[in-house]
Amino acid sequence: MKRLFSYFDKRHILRLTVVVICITLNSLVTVAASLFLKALVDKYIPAVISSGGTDFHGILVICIQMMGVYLFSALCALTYNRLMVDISQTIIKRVRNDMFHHLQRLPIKYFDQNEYGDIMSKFTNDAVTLEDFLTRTFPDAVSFIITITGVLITMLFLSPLVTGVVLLSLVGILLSTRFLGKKNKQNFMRQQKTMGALNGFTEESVEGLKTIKVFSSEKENEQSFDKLNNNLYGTTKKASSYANMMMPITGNLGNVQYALIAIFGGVLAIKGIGGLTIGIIAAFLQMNKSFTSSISQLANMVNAISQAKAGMGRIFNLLDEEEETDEGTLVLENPKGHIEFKNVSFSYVEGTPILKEVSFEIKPGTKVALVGSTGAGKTTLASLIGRFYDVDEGEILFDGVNIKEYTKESLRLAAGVVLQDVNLFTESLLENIRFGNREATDEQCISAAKATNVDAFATKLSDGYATVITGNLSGVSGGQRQLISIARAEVAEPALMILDEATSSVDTRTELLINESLDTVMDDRTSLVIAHRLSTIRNADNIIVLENGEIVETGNHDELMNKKGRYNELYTLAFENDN
Amino acid sequence: MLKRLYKYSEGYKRETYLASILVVLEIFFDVLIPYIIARLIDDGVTGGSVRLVHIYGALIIAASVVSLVFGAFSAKCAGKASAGFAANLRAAMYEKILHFSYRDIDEFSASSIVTRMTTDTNNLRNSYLMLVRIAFRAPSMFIFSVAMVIAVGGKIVLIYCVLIPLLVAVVLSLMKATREKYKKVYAAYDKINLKIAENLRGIRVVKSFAAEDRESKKFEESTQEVYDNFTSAEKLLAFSFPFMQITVNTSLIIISWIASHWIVAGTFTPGELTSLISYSMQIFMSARLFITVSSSIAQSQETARRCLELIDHEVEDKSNGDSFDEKNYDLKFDDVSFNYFAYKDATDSSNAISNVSFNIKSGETIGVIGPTGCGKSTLALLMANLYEATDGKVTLGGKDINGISSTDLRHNVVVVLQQSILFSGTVRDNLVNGLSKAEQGEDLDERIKTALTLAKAEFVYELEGGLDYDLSQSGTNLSGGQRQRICIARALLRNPKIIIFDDSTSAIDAMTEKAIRENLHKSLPDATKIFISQRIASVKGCDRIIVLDNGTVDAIGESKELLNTSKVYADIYSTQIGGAAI
Repeated sequence: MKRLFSYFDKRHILRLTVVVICITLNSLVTVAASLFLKALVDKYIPAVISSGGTDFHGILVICIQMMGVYLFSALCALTYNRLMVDISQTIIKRVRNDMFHHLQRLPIKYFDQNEYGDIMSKFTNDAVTLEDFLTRTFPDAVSFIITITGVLITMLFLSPLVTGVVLLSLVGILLSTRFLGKKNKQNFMRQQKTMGALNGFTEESVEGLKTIKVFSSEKENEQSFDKLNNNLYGTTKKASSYANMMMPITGNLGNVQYALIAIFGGVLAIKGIGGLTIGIIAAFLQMNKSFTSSISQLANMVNAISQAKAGMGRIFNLLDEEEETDEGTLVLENPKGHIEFKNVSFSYVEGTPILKEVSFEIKPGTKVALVGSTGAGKTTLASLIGRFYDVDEGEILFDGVNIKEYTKESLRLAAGVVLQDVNLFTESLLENIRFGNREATDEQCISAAKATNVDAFATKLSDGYATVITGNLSGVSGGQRQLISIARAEVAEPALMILDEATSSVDTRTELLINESLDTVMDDRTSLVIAHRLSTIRNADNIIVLENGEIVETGNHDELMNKKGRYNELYTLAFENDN
Repeated sequence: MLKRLYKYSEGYKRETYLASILVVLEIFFDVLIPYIIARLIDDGVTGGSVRLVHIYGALIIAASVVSLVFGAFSAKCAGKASAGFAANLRAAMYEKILHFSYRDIDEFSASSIVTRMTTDTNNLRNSYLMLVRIAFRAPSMFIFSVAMVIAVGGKIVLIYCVLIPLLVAVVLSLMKATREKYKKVYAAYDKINLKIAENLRGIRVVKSFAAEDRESKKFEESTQEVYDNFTSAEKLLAFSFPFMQITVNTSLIIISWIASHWIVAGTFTPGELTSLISYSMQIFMSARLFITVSSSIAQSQETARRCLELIDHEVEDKSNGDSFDEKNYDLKFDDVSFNYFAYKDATDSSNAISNVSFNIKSGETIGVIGPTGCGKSTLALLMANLYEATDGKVTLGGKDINGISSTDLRHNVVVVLQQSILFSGTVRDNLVNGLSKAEQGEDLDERIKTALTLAKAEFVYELEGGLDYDLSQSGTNLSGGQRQRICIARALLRNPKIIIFDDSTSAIDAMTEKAIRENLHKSLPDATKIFISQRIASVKGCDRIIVLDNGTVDAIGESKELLNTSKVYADIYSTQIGGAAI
C-alpha cells in the first residue's frame, strides 16, 4: 500500500488532499439534512404557529440556506469525482507502463520459468483490481468512514439512549449478514470451480471439434458436457440464490431496526425522558439508513481491499524481479562475425548439463551447420551467443573478445536470429520487417523483402505492404510468416546470422528459394544454421554434429559421409532409399 | 429476441413467474413501512399513546418480516430460474456445435464459439436474473411509492412529474455521450492486451533486435489512449451523481417548504412529512435502479444476438444418407474445386484447389506431395467429406460422397489430422470414444493393444495406469511425438477402408515413421492408404504419387516416372535427396 504512494507526485498529493476534503464535506450533508429536518419540526414550524401562522420568513431563510448547502455539497461531489478519475487513471497508466517496461527487461529465464497466463493475469486481472480500488473502493471507503463518524457524533449529541439502540441492533445485523456473507463466499467459490471445469471442457472440445467429428465421438462428449453443465447449474443456483437474498435480508433487517428506533424513541418522547422530541426521532430515522448501509458496505469492502492488496503484491513482485544485467561496456562496432567457443559448459538446472566443454570456431564469411537429434543442445548453443543465457564455464569470443565485455544491445544487433517459432506483431507487413532495424527506410525494407521472396506475395495482398499482420485473418500463410521473419532479420544486416531451424515450417521449394537468397546475402556474412533437414546444410562449409551436449563430429558433408559415423547414420536414416 | 430467448427458460417458467410476483409482494410490504412510521409518530408519539407506539412498532416489524420472507423466496426462485436458463442455453449451443460441419466451425472460429458458450452465456444469465428481479422491483417500488405520496401528500406528487423525467433525461444523455468513448477505451484495452501477449510470446525476438524501448513506447501510446478516453468519459459521467443528489435534495426542500405551510395550517403532520421524505428517496432510488437495469439490459442485446446466431445456425444432418457399399471403395475426384471463403460474400475468391481429377482404386497406396499452400491438407479434408466440394464431384464406390450417411463415412474413411488433438480423460477413452458398443466388441483390449503396437505407441503401457493414464487438457502431459502415435493408433483401431495421413508424423523420428509404415502395409493390406507429406521419403514408395502445385494436379505417377514428367517433383526431389540420386 505504501509503495503505491511512490506513484503519486506532489501535484497528486495536493489533489488527493482536496479529494479527501471534498468527500468529507459531501458526506456530512447527511448530517446536515437530518439536523435541518429536526430544526424544521422542533423549532421553525412551532415558531410560525406560535407567531400566528403568517410569518414564514424563518422557514424560507433556512430552506434557502439548506439549498445552498446541497448545491455546495454537489459541487464537492463533482470536484472529487473528477479529480479522482484523473488521479487514479494517471497512477494506473504509470503502473502499467512500468510493468511493461520492466517486463521487457527481464532475463529470458523469467519467461521460461513463469507461466504465460500468470504473467498476463498480472496485467489484466491484477491491474484491474488496482484500478477498481483507486476509482471506487478508496473514495467510497473515505466517504463511508466520514459518514459513520459524523452520524455517530450527531446521534450521540441528539440522544445517547437511542444511539445505544441503534448500535445494539447494528451488531445483530452485522452478525447475521456476516454469516450470510460467509455462505455466499463458499458458494461462489464452488460456482467458480465448476464453471472453470465447464469452461475448460468447452474450450477443449471446441478446439478439438474437428477431431471429434472425424471419430464421431459426439455422443460421449455430449454426455460429459451434460454432466458438467448440470454441476454448474447446481452450484450457480445455490450461489445466485444466496447472493440475491442479501438485498431483502439486509434491507428488511434495517426496517426492523427502524421500528426499534421509532418504538424506543417514541416511548421516551411520550414519557419525557432524555429530552426527546419528534424532530429528533425524525432525524434519527433519516440518519439511520445511511448509517447502517455505510457500515455494512464498509464491512463488505474488507474483501475488496484485501483483494487489491494481493493484486498489488503480485504487481510489485513483477516489478521487483531483477532485470537482465548488462555489465558490458564495450560497444561492438563493425562486427565481422568471428565466433569462438572455448570449452563452453552450460546447464539450466545445476547437475543436468546441456552443453559440455564445447569448443569450435566460426570463421568470418563461412556457413556452419549444427546437426543433432532433438535435445542435443543446438538451440541452447545458439542462445548463448546473444547472451540470453550466460555460460557456466569457458568463454565465447566474438571477434576475439569475450562477449561479456560487449553491451548486450550491440552484441544482439550484431547477431541476427531467425527463430523456429515465428513471432510477428500486429502491425503492417512493412513495420514487421522494419522491426529488425528501426532506421531502415521503406526502400531498404522492400529490398530486404525482395531478397527473401516476401515481395512476391506481399504485392499480391490486398493492401500490399500496408497489410496488417494479425492472427490468422490476414491471408498470410505459415510459410509466408516465416519468410517475413527472415526479411526482418535480413534488414538488420547482422554480421552473424543465426538460423534456428528457421525453415522448418517452410516447404522444400520455398526453402530452396530462401537458401538461394540467403546465399547471395551471406557472401560476406558469417552464419550458423540449425536444422533437421540435412539437405539445407549440405552446402555448409563446416558441419558440427552435437549429441548430448558434446561435439561428436565436425567436417563438411563429404568428409563426414566418408567417416561413416553419426552423421552418416543420421543422413541415411532420413533419406534412405526404399527400394 | 426476448421471446426467442424465453424459450430457454423451459422447465423453470414457474420459478420465473414466482420470482417476479414475489418481488412485487416484497416491495408492497416494504413500501408500507414509512406510512406506519408516520402513524406511529402522529397517533402514538404526538397523541401520547404508548400502546399505539407499540402496536405500530409491531406492525412495522411484521411488515419487515413478511417482506423479508417474500424477498428471500423470490431470490431463491430467481437463482434457480436464471441458473436453469443458462444451463438450457449452454446445452442447446453445445448440441448445435456438435452438429457443425468443418465449414461452420471455420465460419464462427473456435475462440468465438468458446466465448459465446462461456462469457456470453454467463452475462445473459446475469441479465436474466436482473430482468426477473430488478425489472419488477424498480417499477413496483416506483408505483407503490408514488401511490403513497398521492395518498399522503396529494398534489405534491407533481414535483416528481418534473424532476424524474429531468433526471432520467440528463443521466441517459450523459451515458449516451460517453458510450462512444467507452468503446474506444475497450478497443484500447484490447490493443494493450494484444501488445502484452505478443511481447510475451515474442520476447526473444524483441531482445534479439534490441527493440525493448520501441515496444515500450508503443505500449505507452496505448495506455495514453486509454487514459485520454477514460478520463474524458468519466469526467463527463461524474456529473451524473451530483446531479442526482441535487434533484433528490431539491425535492426534499420543496416538500419541506410546502409541508411546513400545511402543518401550520393544521392539515398535515410531522409524521407525514417524514414519510414523504422516505417515499421521495425511494422514488429516486427506483429511478436510478431503472436506469442501471435498462442500460445493462440494452448492453446484453448484442450478447443475446451472438448466442442466438450460433443456435440458429443451420446445419445439415447427413446421418440418414445412403449406406456405404463395402466392396468397392474407389475414391474418385471429378473436376473438383474448393474455396474456403465460399460461405462469405466471397471477398477472397481464390480457390484452395481447382479442377482436380483423379481416381484412387480400392487398396492402393497413394502419396500426395507438393509445396506448402498447394492444397494438400484441403485434399485430405475433401476426401473424407469434412468439407464439401464447391464445384465438381467426389464419389466413393461410385456414389456421390455427399449422399452417403455421415456415420458410415466416418467409420470407413479416417483422417489422421496434422494437429494431433487428444482430450482430457484416459488414454482408453481417447481411443475408444465414438465407437458403438457393437463396434467395440469383446476383445477390445486386445485390439487396442494391436493398434498401439502397430502405431509404435507401446509406451502407453509404461505410463502410470497404462490405458487408464489420465491425460490433461488437450493431452499436454505427453510429448508431441507420443500424441501423434496415439492419434495414429486411434485411427487404426477403427479398421477403416480408407486411411489418410495428413502430415501426421512430423514429430516422429524417421526410423519410427518407417516402422509404422511397414506395420500399416502388413496389418491393413486391403485398405487404401493415403500419405500426405512434404517429404519425398514419406511418399517415394507409394504405388502412385499425386503432385500438387498451386491447388492443381501437376502430375500423377510413380516416383521414377515423375522425375521426368514433373518439374515440381524433380525440384523437391533434388532439394531433399540431392542431384546425385537422379
